[in-house]
Amino acid sequence: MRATLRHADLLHTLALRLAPHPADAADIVQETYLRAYAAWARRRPDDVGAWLATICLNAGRDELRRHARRSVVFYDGPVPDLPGRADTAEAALERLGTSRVKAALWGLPESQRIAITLMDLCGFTAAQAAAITGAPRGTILARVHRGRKALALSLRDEHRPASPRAPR
Amino acid sequence: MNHDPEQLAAAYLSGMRSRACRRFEDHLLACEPCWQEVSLARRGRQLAETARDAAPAQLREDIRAAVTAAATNPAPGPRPLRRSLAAVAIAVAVLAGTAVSVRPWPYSRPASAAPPAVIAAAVTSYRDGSLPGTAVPAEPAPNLTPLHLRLAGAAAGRLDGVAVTMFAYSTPSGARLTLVRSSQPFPEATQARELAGTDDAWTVRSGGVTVICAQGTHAMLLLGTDAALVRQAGALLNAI
Repeated sequence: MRATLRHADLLHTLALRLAPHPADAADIVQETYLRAYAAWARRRPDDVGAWLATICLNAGRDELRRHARRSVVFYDGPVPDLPGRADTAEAALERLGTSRVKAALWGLPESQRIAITLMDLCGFTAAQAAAITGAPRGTILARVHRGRKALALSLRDEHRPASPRAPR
Repeated sequence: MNHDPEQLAAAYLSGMRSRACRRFEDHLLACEPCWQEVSLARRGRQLAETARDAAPAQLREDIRAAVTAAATNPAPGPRPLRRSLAAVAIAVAVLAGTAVSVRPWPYSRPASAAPPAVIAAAVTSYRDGSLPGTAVPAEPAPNLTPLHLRLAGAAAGRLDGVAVTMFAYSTPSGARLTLVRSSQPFPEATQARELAGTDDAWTVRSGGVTVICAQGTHAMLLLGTDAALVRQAGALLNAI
């Protein structure tokens, strides 16, 4: 149990890209652990993180389907990270910037958003992301690349990089 | 130079092998389209990385409570989650004085030097001359007649749980070659080495069988005892 809880941040990050409301994301993560617990006796994965992410992705899609069946829309996009009273001015600006990035992520097609989340936010390799989503590795690479470009273009004037022209 | 900047930049930023990486970096300095692709995508990656979220501290406790409740009182059907977490918490509180036995799960297995199970299964299948099922493949067999390889059998099935399509070929002199395709990438063998002149293809020798793996749009394994023939088939299929 303790070994799997270290993946909670990763799963929470992934769940938040599947259902932007924090409470729904928390539900998805809990459901992931319950499904994983139930499946553990049947299958011992070599790559626990990727295995949990696969379950999380399926749980998130189920959650989205449940939402789609409801006639009432509870939210329409990401919940913004509003600055709290304790934030310094710099931290508040940074949080607002992060909110824009999160909103821009929601503007991407789902396949690109998932690919970027798995590779750039969760740290999976292209091969792992391919195994998690069931898409070929080349497709994952194309999705993540196009998503990154779209993200950069949509936030062109924010977070200007200061790095000099140098590879990687 | 005839090339696809988007494809090259995507592969580069996602971790090319060192030799291919060095080649591309040399190319990058002189190619503006590739430079633009890499710059834009790198910036997108930097932006995306700012959107990481740490799980709320309470979430771990909620998970513990939910799993403990499931372990002690498994119930079929839909499970209430956060919305009835108070009930779960109460159940856990009631059980607090009771010794709760939860199966130790899960743990990470230590890395092994043995080939990944699916690769080992492919080698075994080649050596035994068997196919992983009886279903007729949905896709046509690639033509390898320029190498005097004629189709001897084909099937769709599973190798160590991985869905594959397999084609078996042989030459008039008796040399055999097997082609395995999958929509899932094949795990890289620990002893694998990069194939010179390729971006992500690798090769390994296992029990006298040469295996070449190329992860293109579809993952592909080529197996045979004649290393040169395996390599020629890979080149003919534009896999390496």
